[in-house]
Parts: sequence; structure tokens; C-alpha cells
Amino acid sequence: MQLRGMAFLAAHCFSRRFILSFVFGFLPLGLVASPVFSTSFEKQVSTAASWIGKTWPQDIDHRVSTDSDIYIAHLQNSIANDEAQWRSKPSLALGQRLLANYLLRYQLFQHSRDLLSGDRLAKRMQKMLGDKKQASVQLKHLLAKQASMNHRFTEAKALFEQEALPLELSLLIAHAQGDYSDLKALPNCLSADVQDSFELSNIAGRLLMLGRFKDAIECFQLAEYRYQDVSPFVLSWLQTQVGIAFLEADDIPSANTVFRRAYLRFPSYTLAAEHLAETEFLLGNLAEAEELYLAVTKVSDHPLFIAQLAEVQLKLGKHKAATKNKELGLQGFNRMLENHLGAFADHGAQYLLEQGMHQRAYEIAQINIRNRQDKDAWLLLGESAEINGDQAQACMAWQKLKSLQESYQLQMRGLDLKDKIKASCNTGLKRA
Amino acid sequence: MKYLLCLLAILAFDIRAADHGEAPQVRVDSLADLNDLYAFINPNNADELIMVATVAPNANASTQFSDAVDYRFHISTTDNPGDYSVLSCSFEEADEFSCAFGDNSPVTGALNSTVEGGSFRVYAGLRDDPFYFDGGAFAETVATLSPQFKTEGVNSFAGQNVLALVIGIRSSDLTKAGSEPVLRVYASTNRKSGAVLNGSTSGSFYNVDQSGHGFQFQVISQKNTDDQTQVSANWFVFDDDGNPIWLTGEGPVDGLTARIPVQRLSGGRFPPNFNTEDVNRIAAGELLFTFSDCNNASVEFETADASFLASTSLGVQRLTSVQGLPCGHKSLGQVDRIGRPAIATALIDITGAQGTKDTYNAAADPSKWSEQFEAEIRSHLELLDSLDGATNALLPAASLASVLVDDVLLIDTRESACDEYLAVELSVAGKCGGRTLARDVIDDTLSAVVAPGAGDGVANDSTFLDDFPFLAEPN
Repeated sequence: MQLRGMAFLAAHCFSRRFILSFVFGFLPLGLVASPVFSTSFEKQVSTAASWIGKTWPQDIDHRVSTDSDIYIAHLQNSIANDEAQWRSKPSLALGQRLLANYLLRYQLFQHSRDLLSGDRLAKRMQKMLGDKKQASVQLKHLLAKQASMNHRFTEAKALFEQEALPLELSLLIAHAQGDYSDLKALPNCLSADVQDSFELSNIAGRLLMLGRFKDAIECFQLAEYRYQDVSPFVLSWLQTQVGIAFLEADDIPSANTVFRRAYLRFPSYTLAAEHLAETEFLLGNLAEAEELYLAVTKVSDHPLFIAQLAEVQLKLGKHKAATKNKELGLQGFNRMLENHLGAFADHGAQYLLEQGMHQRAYEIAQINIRNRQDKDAWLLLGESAEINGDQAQACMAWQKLKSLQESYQLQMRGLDLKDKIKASCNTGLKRA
Repeated sequence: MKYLLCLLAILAFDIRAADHGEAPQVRVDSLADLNDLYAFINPNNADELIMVATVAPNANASTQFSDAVDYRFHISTTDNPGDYSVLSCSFEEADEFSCAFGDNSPVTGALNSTVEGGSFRVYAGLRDDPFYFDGGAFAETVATLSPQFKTEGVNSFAGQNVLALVIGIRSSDLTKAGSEPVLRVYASTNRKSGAVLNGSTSGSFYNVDQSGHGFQFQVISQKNTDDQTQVSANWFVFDDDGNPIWLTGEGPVDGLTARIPVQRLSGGRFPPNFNTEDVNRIAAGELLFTFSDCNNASVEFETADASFLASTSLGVQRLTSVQGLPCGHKSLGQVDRIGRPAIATALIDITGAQGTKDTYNAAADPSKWSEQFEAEIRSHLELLDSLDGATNALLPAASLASVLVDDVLLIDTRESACDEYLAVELSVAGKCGGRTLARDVIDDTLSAVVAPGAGDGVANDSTFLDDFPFLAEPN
């Protein structure tokens, strides 16, 4: 029971799967779980991408974008210049540009410094706005995004008292609250009404939640095709999303191919690099995985990455380095949970659970469920309650999850909720 | 100006709160996003049109132009799309640029320097941002839909640098020696195609040390059943006994390579005695072309019959090309465009809610602009005109929209005084129109579309040079 539940959890949080594979022994090294796709990657791609041709996913030689070093240098320059200007002459217009760039850099490098700087800046900007709330929709959207990065959904929502919430923000909040009703009537990517690449990728992300991998990949492909600009980050991000789709479908070799494309386009994009590392590991290429994780941990202070590095090093027999990095990972999670509890609650609780710190993990999972009630939060609560022997709470969490699954047809492969409910609810009843 | 909102365009959130799925915060690459366009007659030379395009707000000495786009200036005397001449610059190396225009030889120069190229000269590099504007007051105006500009505004661009492309071009060449004196100018950025073999790769190739045999290589329009681009190749060569033979075949393109099964043909006779049935087609082997660039390739021949021809490999270079198809990266699509200031910013999707800016920027056919965008521009003009509570714009919204939708700068080359924005459109005598570096076009625009006398309370703070490249030194 335990393992199947964890397998589901892993299938929904790719980096978690990686760690869990060591702890619980599923997905052993080099073993690829039975792919959802019945066809090979090549066939999949050639069918789905007939409008692009056989070269998809496009590498940097076939689909040009600005060199990622040129792109990063400009971003860093802009931030440095705007920070200097902000210190001497702060203004909302300047703050807006700076905050957008902090968020952008956080997305690229996953370093908490930008999360913190963004938070500080957003607070100053809120003060400057005062009660007037004379902010453009764009500025409100930006401030709301900063709040939502820290899982402060009420704050995000409050910014839009006067206007309707932008669609993307309302979906984000609805999902965090366990409302997936938008999934019941998803627009068709191939319809002429959907032209925008980001709208397409948004639909694709939602298709993934339903386990409609092929449809999702088609949408991502179309999004890439429709994207006219030359930002290497946007293209690398789109390809990383496709890799994640393959990963969710347990097609590790295909995921690896796509992550490599994304990585080569933008080597310092953390999520492309760490996902590539993860698939290298799953394919048994430990040295490559270690090298990639080492590079990632140089630019990002996300504790998950150093924890993953430790696991790779353990497999490589580098026990000293593994022990040191495991400790650094734990310290990192503790630090993040102290400073950014909302943002790191789910990753943090999961990690603590895996490390055997069940009680603390359970406490955080309970805090997390007060903040968000999406499927991952219920899953985390169910697992941590179960491990801590709180069958009544586990029973409630599994029932909530089952209700979400049934109401919205959410993808929960590998998880037998019936068994879970039977086990925890019967035990709970007996105790009662 | 245009980047003000573009840079801040907030992207769609991903529907998952997890950081993995969140869409990139900024969707455009600001290095390919045109900020401003200026065009005026050189005050020191009445026969030189000066055009300036700026990108990369907040640039410093290490900022580079994008290597993924061509930066183009489009110039014409008519509104017929086919009449535009294009001056195109690209930045494939970190510290140099190359520009091409018409029949002139392309020029290459080091960044932050000026190079001459026949009828034109180019400067590319870091300069002071000539634009001045109270961006904060504009944002508040958009937020509140009431004018928030003050008598003394704050220049959001003070002390900032940009990357600038400055072109000087002989205007008499463009105006047919003055017979069509009014020039239309806009700038665009255009994504380069990837490194794939395309029509412009077609031509004859040979090994310089082996003159006397060679290849005809043609990328053809028909695709195979797998939807792959096809190449036909003919190798005119000799066998070991000195008899001329030719190997011919077709095969698919894969990036910079083409793998072509070839046949040797024999048995035919010279027309009129030719009979198709007499022709023998014997599988000869396979040719693999691998291009290192547009003009150079390696060719590997793997024989099917070693007793007749041996496998071999050789390097080849271009001998001929197809007229009108200069080899190089073909542009795939317009990423951005700009003519007059503030059109895409203030008159297209001002709140960012409609998502039409991308469509506007990608619209590459000037003859269709009116059909595509005039209605939207008109509705925005009506909105802006109502900001001060009165309908008092310079012209009725419909008339103004019909002028502004033709988003180009108009320059009358017969006049050298270019200190009046919209002079050609408004038939102001003695003025060339266009847009100079110093002109307060924001005040002009606010006066025209909101109310007479409206402005943002910000004045030029740059000290421009008296001569080329005119823009002030970087800060």
C-alpha cells in the first residue's frame, strides 16, 4: 500500500520520484516503468508534429533563439542597473520592471535570493500604492504572482478587488483550493481560436493533469511552433514541459531526449538541467547525472538539488561527498521552511518524510493543507498521516482525494485509493 | 517607448502552483524588441537619410544584440509592399556586425564603430537612450484611465543606455533622384531560420583542386511521403577508365545534411534517337552531403559496387548560386516592428487584456495593416480622447486612426528641417517630418490624441552629437 501511494506521489512530482526511488526502492536504477505510450518516441513525435516535420523537438540549430549567455548578461545588467536606480529614485514603473526581472531570474536559477528580493520589493511597492490601488492590471498581476510564488493566495486575490481575476491567476487559485472544474471543458488546442503559445501551453498543462499525454504534447508542440520570438528561455521552458509530459508518462528515454534539447538551448536553466540529470540517473548514467547536479547546485540554492546530488553520489560510492551533501540538503530544507514555509512546504515535508522525520513532516503537511487543498496537498497529508499512524486523518485525506479524482477525472496513476481508504478508514473506525 | 509595456508583459501563470510549470515571466526577448525608431535628414548633408533603431533597454557595455534576428530598416516611396527596399543587419559574432543593402557589397564592422558601405554607412553599439518619458505617470494613467501626468514629470529613461543601430543612407538613391521625394520608413526584427538546407543552398559545387568534375545540388519544393524536404543531386564525374559518367538521385534533408542514393545511367542515345526504355539505371551507392556553412560541404560517397567505383570523400565549395537567392539564413518571421512612437504601446491592447500586440508586431504586410488594426486603433483613440472628460483630440478618432494605422515615419526629403513630428501627415510646410532624436514626440502624441497642450512634463536630457552617429555617448 505504502509503495503504491508513493509511486503516485512520485508520478506527480518528478523530483520527488527521484528521491523516492532510493528510499522505497521503486523504479530501481535503469528500470523504466512501463510506458504509457504504446508507440516509440519517434512515432509519437512524427504523428503529433506533422505540421513541424521530423526535426521536432527542435534543437538550437534548427530553431534559432538568442544565445543564452547573451540573454542572461542582459538580464543581469538590467537588474543591476535597476537596483542602483531603485536605491536612488524608486518609482512604481521602475519597481515593476525590477520585480518582473527578479521573478524571471528566480524561474531561471531557482535561487531564493530572488524570491526574497522580490518579496521585499513587492512590499515597498504595495506601500507606494497605498490605499489608492491605482495599479495597472499588469502591475497587479505581477504583485499577485509574487504573492502566489509564496503560496499567499489570499493576498494575490485581494489585489483584484475591483476587476475580474485574470484567467491564469484564477485557475491557479482555484486549483490550489481543490477546484478543478475548468478541466471539464478544456478548449481544443487545434481550434483556430487558440493562437497564443502561452494559452496553448496552459491548456497542455491542464491536459497533463488528466493524463492525456499525447494531447498535451501536441499542444506543447503547437505552442512551440506558434512562438515567434527568440527568447531562449521560453523555448527551453516549452521543451522542458514536454519532457515533463514524457516523464509523467514514464517514457524516460523520450524525456531524456527532450530535456537534453532544452538543456543545450539554455544550459544554465536550472529546471532543464536538473530534469536532464534526473533522467540520466534513471537511465543509469550516474557520472553525467552527477556532473549536471554539480552545475545546478552552483547556481541554485534549492535544497532538492543538492539532496539529489547526494543520492547520485551515494550510488557512485562517493560516500563522503554524499553524506556532506545530504546534510547540506537537510539544512537547506530547514532554512527554506523557516524563511519560505508556504513556498517550500510541499517539497520540504516530502523530503522530511523520506528522511524518516515523520512527525515534523506531518506537522508541515497539516500547515500546508490549511493553505492549499489541491490533490498534491491531500496526498501529502494522507501519506504523512498514515506513516504517523493517524488513520482517521489519513482516511479523511484519502476520501478527499478520491472525491477530487472522481469529480474531475484527475490523473492518479499508481495509486489505489480504494485500498487506501479501506485500510485507513477501517482502522480508524475500529479505533473509534 | 514600446518596450515599456512589452517588457512588463506578464505571462500566463501555469495552472499548477508548482514551480516546474510556471511559464517564463517575460515572453519576449528584449534584445529583439525594438524600442524606438528615428528618421530624419542629416542636417550636414541634405542627401543623407539618417535612421536610428534602438533595442535592449538598460544596456551596458557587455550587452549584445541578439544573434537570432536580422534587424531591418524598410524604406519605400509607396505603400506597395513590394516596393520596399530593405537594409538588414545581423550580429552573428560577439563584437562585430554586418549589414547589407541592395546591390552594395555587405559591410562588416566592429561594434561601437562606423563603417562605410557604398551608398550607406552604419554605426552599431552602445549609446545613451535618447528617449524621454514619464513611464510611471503613463502606467498610472492606464491604471486609472484618467490623466496622471504632472507639470514636472519624472524621466524614466534618464541616465540609461541602449543598443543603437544608426544608418546613414544616400536618399537620392531611394527617391529616384528626387522624383518621389516622400519616404516611408519602418523597422523590424526578423527571426533567422535555423541551420537547415533550403532553396538558397542550391547551386553548383566542386573541389577547387579537382576542377573538371562537380555536383549540381538542388533543394526542391516537393517533399517526400514523410513530409521531408528533398534534394536532387547530380555528380558529373569520370570512371577509372576516363569515361564520363553521371550519378544522380534524390534524398531527404536532415538539418545540414542530405543523404542521397544515386544511380548511374547508361544506354540512352542522343535525341532524336533517345528511347527511355534503353536507359539502364544501376544503383551506384550513396552520397552524403554535410554542409559546414552555406558555401562549403563535405561529400562522402559510399559505393554499391567497389569493382566499378571506389568509396571516397572530398570537400567541395560553391561554384554558382541561383539568381535572387543569396545563400544565408533565411528569415522566418517578423518578431517586432515599429514606425511611429507609442502606436503599439498605447493604441494596441493598452491594458494587455486582448493579446493583440504580438499579432500587431508580426504583421509584415503594410497593405493589410489597415484591415487588421484600424478598428482597434480607433477605439483606443476614442478612449484616450475621453481621458480628460472632453472630446478634443486634434482630429476625429476615425481620421486619426486611418493615418496612424499606416505605422511608418514619413519623411519629405526635399526639406531639411525635421523638427516637427507628423509634419508630412499634417501637411506642415517647410518641414521634413520623420522623428528627430530631440523631438518631444510624447507631448506631440498626447496633444494630438488626448487634448491640445497635453504632455508628460519631461524634456530631453541628452546632449546629442552634431554629426554621425548623432546619439549621445553612453552614460
